[in-house]
Amino acid sequence: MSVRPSAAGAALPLGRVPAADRGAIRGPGNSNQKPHSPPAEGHGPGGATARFRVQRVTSVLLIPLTAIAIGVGIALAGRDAAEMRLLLARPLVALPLALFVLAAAWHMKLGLQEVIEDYVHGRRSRPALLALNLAAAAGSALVACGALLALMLGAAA
Amino acid sequence: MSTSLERRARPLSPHLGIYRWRATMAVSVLHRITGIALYGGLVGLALWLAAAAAAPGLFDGLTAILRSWFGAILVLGFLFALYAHFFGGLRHLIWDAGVGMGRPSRDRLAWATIVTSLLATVATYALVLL
Repeated sequence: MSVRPSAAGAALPLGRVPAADRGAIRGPGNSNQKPHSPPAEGHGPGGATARFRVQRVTSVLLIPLTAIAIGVGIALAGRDAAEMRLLLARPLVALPLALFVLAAAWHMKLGLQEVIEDYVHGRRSRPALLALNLAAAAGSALVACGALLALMLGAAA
Repeated sequence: MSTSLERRARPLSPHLGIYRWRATMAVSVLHRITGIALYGGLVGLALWLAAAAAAPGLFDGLTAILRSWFGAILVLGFLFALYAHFFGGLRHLIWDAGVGMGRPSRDRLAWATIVTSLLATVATYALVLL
């Protein structure tokens, strides 16, 4: 497989690295160690480089989305439950909030995955925690978006 | 004897304990801890939204908890975690652009992360109280 310049590699002076050594330059968190879970490491879909990119893309998306979410939080504070539901049901509130939840859920799934891969090395515990991480992140996103949709439809009905 | 050798504690490479704490190291650790805390925060947000949509009684209860002194600590902690991870993340994006990695810059960025997060937390909470 040829070595593509990656998001991380682009910042490295790749041109000055002897061709024979370029194979050693990989995505983040992946040196020449023996891979723990082969399909998740290195290049390709779901590989470390793809994860690195998605982590950066979601972090940039989360800059405006977090500002919106904090704004919604400030607007919600001090209101009673019925007023909160009405505010959350407004599409201009619910839709950006749903986008925030989706970007944040994906971002945090990748983040915790990195933490698990750093600290958990058990043959059984590692894949179990990685699966639990995916389930918790995807589940939260699904539940939150479903709730926002229900609030919007409920208000419209 | 090989068994006694195996049972003896194996030598470990130098770990966290040997390093002098610096702002950069503190913010790096803080970034990971706040990231994990925010994970819990988003799971909580999802449950709170689900309650808002489908369980009015539960929603009233959860909102009452958020209004209590315990809830105030929770909200303040969540806000600080959010801001610390937000500004700490901006720092990483600056580094990704290939700038700010020299010693004076990275120390300044670390302190700026701490100070800005604290100020933003206080400012947001003051806004909520108004």
